[in-house]
Amino acid sequence: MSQATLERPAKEPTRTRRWRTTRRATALSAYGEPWLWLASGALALALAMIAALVLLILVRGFGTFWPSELLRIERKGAPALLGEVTKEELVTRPAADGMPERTERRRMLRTGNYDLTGHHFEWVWDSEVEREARPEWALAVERTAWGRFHGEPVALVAGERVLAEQPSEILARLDDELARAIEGREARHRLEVEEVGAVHHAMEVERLTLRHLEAEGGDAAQRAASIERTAELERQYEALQRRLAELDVENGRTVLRMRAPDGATKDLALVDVVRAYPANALDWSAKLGVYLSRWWEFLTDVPREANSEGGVFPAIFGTVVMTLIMSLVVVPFGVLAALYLREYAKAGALVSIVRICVNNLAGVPSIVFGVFGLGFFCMILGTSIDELLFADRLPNPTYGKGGLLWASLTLALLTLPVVIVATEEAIAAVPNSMREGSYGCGATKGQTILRIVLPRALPGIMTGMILAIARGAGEVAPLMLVGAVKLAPQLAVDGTAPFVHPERSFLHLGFHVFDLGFQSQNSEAAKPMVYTTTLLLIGIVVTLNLTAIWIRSQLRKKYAANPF
Amino acid sequence: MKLLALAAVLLAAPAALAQSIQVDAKLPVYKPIQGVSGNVKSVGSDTLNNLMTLWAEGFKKHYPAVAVEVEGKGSGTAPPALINGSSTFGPMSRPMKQKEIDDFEKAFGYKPTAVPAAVDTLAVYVHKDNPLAQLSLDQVDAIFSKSRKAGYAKDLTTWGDLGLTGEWADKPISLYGRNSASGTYGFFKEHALANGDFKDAVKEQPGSSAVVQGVASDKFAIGYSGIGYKTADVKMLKLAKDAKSEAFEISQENAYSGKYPMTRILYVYVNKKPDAQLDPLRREFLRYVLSKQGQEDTVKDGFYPLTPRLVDQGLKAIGLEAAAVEAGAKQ
Amino acid sequence: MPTATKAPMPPTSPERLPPTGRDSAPRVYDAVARGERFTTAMHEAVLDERHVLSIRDFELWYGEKKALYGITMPITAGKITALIGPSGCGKSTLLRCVNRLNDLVDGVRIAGDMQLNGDSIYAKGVDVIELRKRIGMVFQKPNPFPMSIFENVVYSLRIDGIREKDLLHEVCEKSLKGAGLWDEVKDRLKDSALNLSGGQQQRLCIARAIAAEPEVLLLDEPCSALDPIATGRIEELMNELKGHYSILIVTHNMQQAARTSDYTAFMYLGRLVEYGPTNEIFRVPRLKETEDYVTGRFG
Repeated sequence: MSQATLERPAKEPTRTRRWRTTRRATALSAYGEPWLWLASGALALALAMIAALVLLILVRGFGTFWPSELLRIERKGAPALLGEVTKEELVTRPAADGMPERTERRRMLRTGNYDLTGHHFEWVWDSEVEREARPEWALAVERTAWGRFHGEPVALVAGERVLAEQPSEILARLDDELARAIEGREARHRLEVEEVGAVHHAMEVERLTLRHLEAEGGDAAQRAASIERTAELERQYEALQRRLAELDVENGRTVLRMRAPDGATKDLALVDVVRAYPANALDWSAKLGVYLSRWWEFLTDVPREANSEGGVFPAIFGTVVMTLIMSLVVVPFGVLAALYLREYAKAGALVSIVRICVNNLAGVPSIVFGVFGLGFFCMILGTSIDELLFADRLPNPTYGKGGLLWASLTLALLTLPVVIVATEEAIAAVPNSMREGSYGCGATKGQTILRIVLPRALPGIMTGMILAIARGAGEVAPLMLVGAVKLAPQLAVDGTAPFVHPERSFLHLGFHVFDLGFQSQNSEAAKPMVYTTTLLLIGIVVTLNLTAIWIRSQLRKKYAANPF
Repeated sequence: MKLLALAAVLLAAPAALAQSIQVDAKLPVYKPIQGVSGNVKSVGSDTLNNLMTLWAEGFKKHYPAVAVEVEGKGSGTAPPALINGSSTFGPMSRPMKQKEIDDFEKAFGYKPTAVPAAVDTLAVYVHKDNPLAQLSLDQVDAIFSKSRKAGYAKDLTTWGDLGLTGEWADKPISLYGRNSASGTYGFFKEHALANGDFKDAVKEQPGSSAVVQGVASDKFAIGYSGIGYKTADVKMLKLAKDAKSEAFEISQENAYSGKYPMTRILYVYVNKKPDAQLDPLRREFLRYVLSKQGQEDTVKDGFYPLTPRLVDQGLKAIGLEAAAVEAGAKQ
Repeated sequence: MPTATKAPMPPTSPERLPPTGRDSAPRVYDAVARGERFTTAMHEAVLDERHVLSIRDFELWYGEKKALYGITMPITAGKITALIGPSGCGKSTLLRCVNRLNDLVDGVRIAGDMQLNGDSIYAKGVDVIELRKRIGMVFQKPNPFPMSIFENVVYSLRIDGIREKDLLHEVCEKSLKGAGLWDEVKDRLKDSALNLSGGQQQRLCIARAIAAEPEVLLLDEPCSALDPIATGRIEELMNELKGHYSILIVTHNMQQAARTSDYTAFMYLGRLVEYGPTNEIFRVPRLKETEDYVTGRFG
């Protein structure tokens, strides 16, 4: 029958061939090309959007810390300015004051000197400019407070003694003096944190002991001893305060005298200076030095000046630790749940409903999880823990508020569906013949799952974990309800017993981006930091994911099926 | 034309107008005492968010053993956190409402204590290229409110309605504001809108800075936000109490004298039993806020510092001796 | 394939039918189609041997569908018994009932019993896990576990919690030698079993099955996924194992059954049609149906 069909065209006379050709012309939809174009076009569009976004973040993010030159602009009827040009635009100005309508350039200058002028940035029209210059010795100074200072060095003064007056001399000595000032600052910091902190802590303990003794009516000798100890601590404290005051005087002695562009002079104590560089005299390698030193500060330091300056180390720490705790919680839970659904539960309506619910859970807005976390973890669980274990600290809550642990658990809940779905798929992909082989050897269900199913499904489970990390690390909205804050000076892991403090609030890079972008007082300066912080967050998520992917590929190698 | 000329002058010479803000020399200098340690948590206004952080940083310099956490999602979040004990301080950019005070009293049997912490003026911002120089409050009401309780005759929807010409004449006014949890929202509603309702077209922003950035990126925008968030890309308008009064620009002097109509005091609320002393930690933190150093942080964040009289009022509220006015009297 | 039992049959006692003569017309299929009783053409030779496994009046339903009808079949110790029959005749089902793997399938019911060296397999209270340890099984497709060759072989010992290295190594070597794989893999016992070739994998599975010293070895079409050379190796291996182990093998390959087995059982539509010594089944079957099938005239 089929043979006959195949042979027929050869037997057909030629006259019908044309008719048949037109009749059987292939429909347009049968060709592959339109589909190919449509599919590849969609892919290209998606890639272009992703590439544009990544490129924007990369360029802006990496560009933030590159030092630019300082431009001095003398204006008609207004004080001179000295700063980095951060933006420029062409604007059509309407006719006014006898001037015709015209297109004019204006530039935005990052001027610094907020303590003198009340401005961080200023716009300058080209028509206002009287003279422009790039002064050789213009110095950009980054301070621990009040932001940047732009000016020209006048003198380096130690107490009464003038160390240097020529700009070149000042710059030559500045590095050494700055290093010494930083040493002084660190010495003070150590004294503060280690010794003063210890005394404060001891006094607090003593105060509580005394209060306890008084409340219980303990014997007089003990009370006297406690009072005695307190007095001793007070003496220590006085001594430390004197040492601190001496250090402050000593540290404040060396001063960099600067002339602001408007002519005013200002003394900057070196101890408050983070970094100073002659912006217009830097060669390429020196610029790179400043650039790298800024990155180093950004990655390792704590935030200053309401998060607008300094580094983001606590936020990096918070993000990574939170993501790790989240993974540690969500993977076992998700895997167990998926195991039950796939291996134990009898297929039926109930399992289907549960599965649909789990899948839909992935579509619930993340803020809903935040509300749940706040209500359940912080309010119910946390408050109960406080009442049971930390009753002495009430009414100040310990666990009954947002914290690292609750945030991690909330995110674990948020990413649970991802892990369950991925694990279920991985378990379903384990060939039944392997299970049967194991049963055939006399293994129990538990042994089969533990020794055969789970190892085989492990790469798939890792995929679920990767997806969970990607979703969890980038999530911000729920965190704002359960523990991410603007300022949390203590890390969740530190030197005070019990060393791990999962109840503490934490900084998070995603929240930091939100804070910089929407809350920052100096929003113009914060904008580039938004990109840099975003870049960092993406970098961390990529690093975490690459690690997981690497582990997965190792596992795949181990369990790879040979298709013989 | 006159308006334009004025605008040109304003644009040309912002630096000449800019004054660095001064903290009154009579304010007490903060001196640390011994034995202060523990944890402090602040939950409340996002206007005060940066300022609380600055105070926390400054305070921690004196007391390394103190840990301060700052969380700021709007003034409305301060009273509940104070009531359930999850916060030590409740910074608010408006005084507590009667309902909030009642809730607090229900829980503790006494009223919360308000400590003035900084002086803020609410600025009405427009894009830096906007030639408009001033508005009266009833005009502001007619721009932002659909109920127009301040009594302006007609609804203001385009810049032409405000007398601008050229390309501005037929452009609709684009409105930016805060979300309703914010104290800034409440204060503006009360003082500029006479408790009327906002138009639906107001684009509500999640932060004070976001309002300013919104206005900066939208040439035909107008928005309100704290003075502390101004940038070079926006312009603050002079405001007049009503159509007949003179309009005043925002300055430290006009803020203190009340000539600028939308001046407010920012508060830090604290839970203090009326007859008891505050514990050293909270007392010292508030003393720091009310000190010269604390008020310098206020300036750093773009707000105005407290006057000596307000500082004394604050010190008395937390059961300390007034220091500022007397100290000044002695000098 | 004709479905003989559209209407579900109640689980009654097995239907019996008088045996048909070799020269008679193929009546069995018609009888089965009509749902009539018939009796297996059992050659007397199979009854004279020592039996390791005896299946008695065994019936099985998948849900409402009956798959095995009154199968009575003794399996001779130390010999190879082949199960042949067209696809879907129930031979694999029967095989999987011996170590109760069918328990894992939802909705399976059985009647009748099997006995392994006198111990009931389906009696109440039988420990299935213990039972399966006495029965080795090799599947149609090689299914080595995702672990090393060594771990694969000693899997049944591992799950018993045996940790003594010497014992494990001894068993591993013995089983691999038994499966004729030792020389090929002795230097790479730690390698993943998944890197072996298909034939090696199947021999590994045999090694794994004999590591537990089973009383019966079940082979479910063990060569269907292998090339002729690998098949030849497995057949050789079966010959070597015979005597020490009792083997029950399902196969589709007539030549394989004829070459390797001592006894052959022909199944059709869930019935055991004829069962006897292999040379009799292939040379002088008692039933026309069997003759048609083994000579390839049926199917």
